[in-house]
Amino acid sequence: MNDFVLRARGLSKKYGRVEALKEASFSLSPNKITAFLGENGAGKTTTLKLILGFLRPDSGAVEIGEGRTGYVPEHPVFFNWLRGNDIIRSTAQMYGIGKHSLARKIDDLSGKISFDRNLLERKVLTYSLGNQKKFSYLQTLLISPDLLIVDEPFTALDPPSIKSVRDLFSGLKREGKTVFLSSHLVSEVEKICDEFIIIKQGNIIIHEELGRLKHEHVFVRFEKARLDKENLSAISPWIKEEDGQFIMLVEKKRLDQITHHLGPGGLISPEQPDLEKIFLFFIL
Amino acid sequence: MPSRDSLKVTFSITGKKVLAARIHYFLLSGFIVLLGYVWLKDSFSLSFRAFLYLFPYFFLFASQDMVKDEVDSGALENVLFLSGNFRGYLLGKSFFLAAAAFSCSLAIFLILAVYALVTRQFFAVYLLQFLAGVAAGIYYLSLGGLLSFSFKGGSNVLIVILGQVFLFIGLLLRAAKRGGFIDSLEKASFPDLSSRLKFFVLAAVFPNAVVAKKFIVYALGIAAFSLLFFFLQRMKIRNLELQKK
Repeated sequence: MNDFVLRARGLSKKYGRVEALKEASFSLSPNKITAFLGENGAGKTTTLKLILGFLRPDSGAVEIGEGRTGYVPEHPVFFNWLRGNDIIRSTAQMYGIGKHSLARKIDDLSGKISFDRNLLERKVLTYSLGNQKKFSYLQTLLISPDLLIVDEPFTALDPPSIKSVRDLFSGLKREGKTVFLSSHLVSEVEKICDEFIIIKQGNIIIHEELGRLKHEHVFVRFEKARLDKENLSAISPWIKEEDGQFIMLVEKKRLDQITHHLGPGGLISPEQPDLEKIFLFFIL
Repeated sequence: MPSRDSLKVTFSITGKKVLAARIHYFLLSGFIVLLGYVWLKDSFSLSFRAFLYLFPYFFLFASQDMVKDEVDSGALENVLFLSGNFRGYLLGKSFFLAAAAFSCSLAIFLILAVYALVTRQFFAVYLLQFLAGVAAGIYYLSLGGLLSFSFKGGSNVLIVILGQVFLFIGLLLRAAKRGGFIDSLEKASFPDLSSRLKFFVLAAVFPNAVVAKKFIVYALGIAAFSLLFFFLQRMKIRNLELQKK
């Protein structure tokens, strides 16, 4: 049994002269929900497409563990001549899902994601964008994926559906599945994710457990003149300069070291981190 | 190599696409009406020969929007096509379209052949001409498929037909002054390399020419070109990436 569900090693991809992804390496542990965060054009979709086999890497490799992989794109597109039922039946045929099992799964999943199963009689092209997204979830979850990859999981969904989808991810995790979410909605994914990866300009800059970072770390800010960066980087690698100040994400247990160097009153406003603050800290 | 289930799914999806395209019904009924008209106005024999020369176009029309539309649409990013399986789907499509166009051609050929046998108008060479027509049809499918990597919708078909229009205009202009290649065509004799190459160019643009009794042997050349084009298609599909939506 592998200790990873997915492992990317040294993935690089260029579009012409533009380096979309630079030597990206990371792995996904089983039974975790991992958020993949980055600005527009950071390389998130390129990474997903390389994982899913839609693009070929210039160098590096992707290794996917045993089991099925499912994928829900940001804006799912379906052949315009096919009805929902046609796509569902093709999916069932491809993945060896029997007729009775299929009917049961459709009932179960339609309820979970509030999808009106009468729509299956119509061409998918005629569905609203929200229903197309829900249909994509329905189709993908039919195959009971061990690894579910979702690009912008909440796009086109209304608030009740967003909650349903969040609950769905938590349910998958309870079943021992792994979920990999690429999203801009940091506050939504924070509610469910165990780990996060941040990508910036094609580089993976951090891959951490969210709980560990939130509970064991704190943001601190202090005047730049009080300490030099070399001393600080021994305390924490996560440090940046802004408006004449240093901002650090540091382990709580190492705070004493900083206050010792700074002297009394040197530390300004320690702040509890949340995913949005962490994201902005690494991106900006 | 696509799996059996993946091929079944490819055939099912492509079959539904062929059936959903109204243009196919329009072309098929138009073709049947044309054959009926020729039969009524002239003879069954001419109608049969018209069929033999024209049915390769079934394959050409089957090749419309084979690749580029589907790649650009984003529909190949479906869960059915993960792990590069979209490449298997695109390869499988050619087989299905060839089989569909062949089945349709064979059905009409059998109807006409049975009538010809009953009325004692059947000649063994019709069978050879049908096979040459199939070779021409497969050539159309391979050429149309290759063009559809760059041209959307039915524009690949349009390009082939435009090429034929220019070819016929060229031949008409040359027919005014006798001699040379036109004479070679009439006699079906290509004594030198230059005239043989010219005929291959003609057959490459208008492969239906190999249906003519005197040119049947050139169907082998057309079949070789088809193999080359399918090989190029396979290479392109193997290197294909789904970059944009």
